[in-house]
Amino acid sequence: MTDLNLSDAEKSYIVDGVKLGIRVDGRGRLDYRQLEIETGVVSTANGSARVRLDRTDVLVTVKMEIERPLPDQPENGRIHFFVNCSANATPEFEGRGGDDLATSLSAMMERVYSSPHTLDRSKLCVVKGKHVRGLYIDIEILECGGNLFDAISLGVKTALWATKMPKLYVTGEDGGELEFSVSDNPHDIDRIDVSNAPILITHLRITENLTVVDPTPEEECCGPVRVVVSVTPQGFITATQQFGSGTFNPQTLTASLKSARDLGQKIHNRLLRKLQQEEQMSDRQVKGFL
Amino acid sequence: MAGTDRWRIAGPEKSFPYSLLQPKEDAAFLREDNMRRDGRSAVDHRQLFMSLGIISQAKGSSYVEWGNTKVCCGVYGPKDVQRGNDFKMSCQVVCEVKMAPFSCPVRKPPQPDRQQKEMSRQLKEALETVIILDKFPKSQIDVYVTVIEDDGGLLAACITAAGLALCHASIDVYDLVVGSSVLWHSGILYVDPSRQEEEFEGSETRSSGREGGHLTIGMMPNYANGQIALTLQEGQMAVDNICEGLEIAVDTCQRIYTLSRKTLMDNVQSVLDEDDEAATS
Repeated sequence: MTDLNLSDAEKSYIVDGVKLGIRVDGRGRLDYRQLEIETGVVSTANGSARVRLDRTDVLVTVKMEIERPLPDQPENGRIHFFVNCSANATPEFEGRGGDDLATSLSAMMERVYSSPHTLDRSKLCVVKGKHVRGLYIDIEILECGGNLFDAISLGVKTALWATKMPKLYVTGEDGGELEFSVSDNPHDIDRIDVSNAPILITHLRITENLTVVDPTPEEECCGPVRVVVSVTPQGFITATQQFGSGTFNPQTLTASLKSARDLGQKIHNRLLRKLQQEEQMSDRQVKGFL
Repeated sequence: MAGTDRWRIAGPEKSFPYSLLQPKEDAAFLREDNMRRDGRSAVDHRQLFMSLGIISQAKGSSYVEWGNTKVCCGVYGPKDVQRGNDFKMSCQVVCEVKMAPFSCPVRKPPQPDRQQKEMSRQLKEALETVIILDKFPKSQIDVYVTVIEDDGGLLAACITAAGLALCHASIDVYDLVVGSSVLWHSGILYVDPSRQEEEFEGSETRSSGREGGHLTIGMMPNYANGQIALTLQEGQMAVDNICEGLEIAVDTCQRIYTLSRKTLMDNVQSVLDEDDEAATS
């Protein structure tokens, strides 16, 4: 994924370490790196979140618009994902270089959020069959330090949690066209229920039957194949997909799914607690990019 | 996103399939006699048909039919890497899944949509593990899959067809790759779901929020005790149910593998017989 060339000796150092259960940065196989999340970093968006996972840096924003629903889902709001792999993150993304990765990432997020279990999109309806809210979720990859899938899913969940949409009222009808008024009271807002929104947990297969979670770019060089699992706070799996060229033994896959479920539930609980704490802080200073 | 194709006449911008205006049938998932709508039991696979060499110009080709799902695949190469692509010491796999515009009840536009691009990418990554890339340095292998009809289990059919076509093209692979899919609906696993079942399951879990889902795998059953090259799961399922589904999918793959092997052996035998006849006459 990143512009890295490891020698065989460096690779075998990482692989042998994983066999002994210890990784280069001192973590165990199933340990996560320190996670930093902040909401409200972009003032022009309805909701935003920035996620830092060691060197991985992702900025997710949510903007709301009014649009027409799809003809087969007249009361469902629409969610669009756009991933921008900035060439800042790694020179390989220059031009169309990041397109493949961006398509995989946005397709995965779309798959995860298209499921009705994760997000009730009928809550985004304004007038059935005519007007629904559309959420444009833009994901900017600022720095690429491994494990993009997990970081992005955490960012999207947090940004949706922080999204505040002004309430819309239909005030009248003029020649078949509806008239709206948008509330300008900052407390008269709609929020999105993310209590069931999943996060992704990636297991990278390093050697034989051994997988690691939250891989660094160096580890990603050693193992080309990963399985990305989407876990809801209740411990259900809503999507699983294998990425990269390599194979999994069925038993390894099963073990990865189980460990993803346990780890995912833990992270969900922590995340929710921290987000509630953050919201209750009375005069929070946005740290942003300083 | 590529621009619009100016050589084709685009349909009216705001057209939508008329089927949306028709009243929805209130059919149940199962028939009254507890069989599936096409008369199968939960563990029955649809009828399979496989044949080789349907495209005479391709190095290898295959045609696979799973019930009404019809897929054909052509393999070209190994050949020189096309100009403009990066030079690499190992083989490059180019893979494209193309769904014919008439393959689904709703017409597919001629330009590949996200679903097709995503399928092409998944198939490519799976085939990269199946082909012994080191045997074809500096070259490229093209795998084109055309979907003639999609009646469920599409990705599984595509990967099976691609595996057969690769072997027919005499390209070195670690093992023949085959695919299978299972559906989880109200606590029961159904092997090889049809399109109707997939859609029903999708719309029902959408409205009820119950557990349900769909799992597709592609695997090499004989390589290192069975290796999974492709996994795709959707829906909402508990881990234990996925594991159970995985086991059944692996079993199904074994059965399909036997048939694929037989198809290949028969093909080789018929080629040998033809050679013998030519030599004697």
